[in-house]
Amino acid sequence: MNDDELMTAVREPLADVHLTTPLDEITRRGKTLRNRRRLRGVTGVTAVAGAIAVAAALLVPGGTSTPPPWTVTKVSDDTIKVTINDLKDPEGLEQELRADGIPARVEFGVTRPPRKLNPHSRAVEIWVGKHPVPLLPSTCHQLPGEVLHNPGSGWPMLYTIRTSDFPKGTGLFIGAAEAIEHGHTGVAAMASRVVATPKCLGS
Amino acid sequence: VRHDRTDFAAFYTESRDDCLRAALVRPTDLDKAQELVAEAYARAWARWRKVSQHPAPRAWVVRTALNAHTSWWRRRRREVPASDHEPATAVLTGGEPAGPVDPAIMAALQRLPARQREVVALRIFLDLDTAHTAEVLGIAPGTVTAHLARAMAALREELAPLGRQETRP
Repeated sequence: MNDDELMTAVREPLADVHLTTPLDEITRRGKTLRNRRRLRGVTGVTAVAGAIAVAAALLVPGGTSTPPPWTVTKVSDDTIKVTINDLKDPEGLEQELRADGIPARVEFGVTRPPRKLNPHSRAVEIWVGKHPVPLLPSTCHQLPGEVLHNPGSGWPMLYTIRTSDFPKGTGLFIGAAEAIEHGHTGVAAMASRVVATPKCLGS
Repeated sequence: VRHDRTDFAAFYTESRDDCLRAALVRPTDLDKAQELVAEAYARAWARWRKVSQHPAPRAWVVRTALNAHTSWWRRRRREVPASDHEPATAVLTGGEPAGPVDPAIMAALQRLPARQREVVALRIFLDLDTAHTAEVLGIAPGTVTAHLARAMAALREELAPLGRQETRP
């Protein structure tokens, strides 16, 4: 079997596979995603605008002041700011960072005290103790160099990321998890430069 | 906007089946693959001005679908109680039948390493040339050629016996 015959043998059995989703359904969903992105952008662009919007939301019946789980805003040509308000939609944040040219993997989780999570798990692993410590998955190789984050802990978590810190072959891992101990809830998080391998970043 | 939509509609009509076939290189069922590719097209439409400038918009859709697939697997993993966690490799070799598609072909494709599957998706199913494939994946053209050669060798080994069986009297 030569190469052409082999390619045909692989392609042909799939000839009857068709994507039947109507175009209108695709564009409707796309419009929703676009609006959501715009909303995120507006929320994160200026604190003043955000404050006005929140104030307005409180005054207008039926309005909501719930912030989006995270925002990605461009600070300059080389710098973006990631604000995490809630550990939700990690896949969306991954997509957003990838769209900005940073191969990224984002893992949000919840620890289950008082023991360590399975070491083979690809999810964020955290020892719950006095100071919960998030670890990189074993499939990721950490690189030197810091990703700037807001000092201390608590919400929201802010990361300032320079795209020039991520040349070809490097990527970003963000992991965060809620940790519950003796009835108190905290959050532990890390952002790290890593070698961009499929096993680490999943693509 | 109307002009954009006409462009996107033409792109969707012309590329959707190839993109779905390419996305099937990863372990999944046909319904889930359709869902992931449709979502990838929706994301493409959401940022069409940018995606339309991509060197290979079809490849953008397939890679987005494959990435979403990864996220979907991860999400499924999270739903499993911690005590039931299995090593990550179990997830990568898992998966459900791919529907009406020849299971032998699908199994052979899905047994390839992730990078080889991506190269097969772009080179065989999307018919991208080596240079475009290299650009899209961010790797050297020589690496694309090497991955494709290894994938073809593995597929030949797995599929050749099937071909021989079929031609037997």
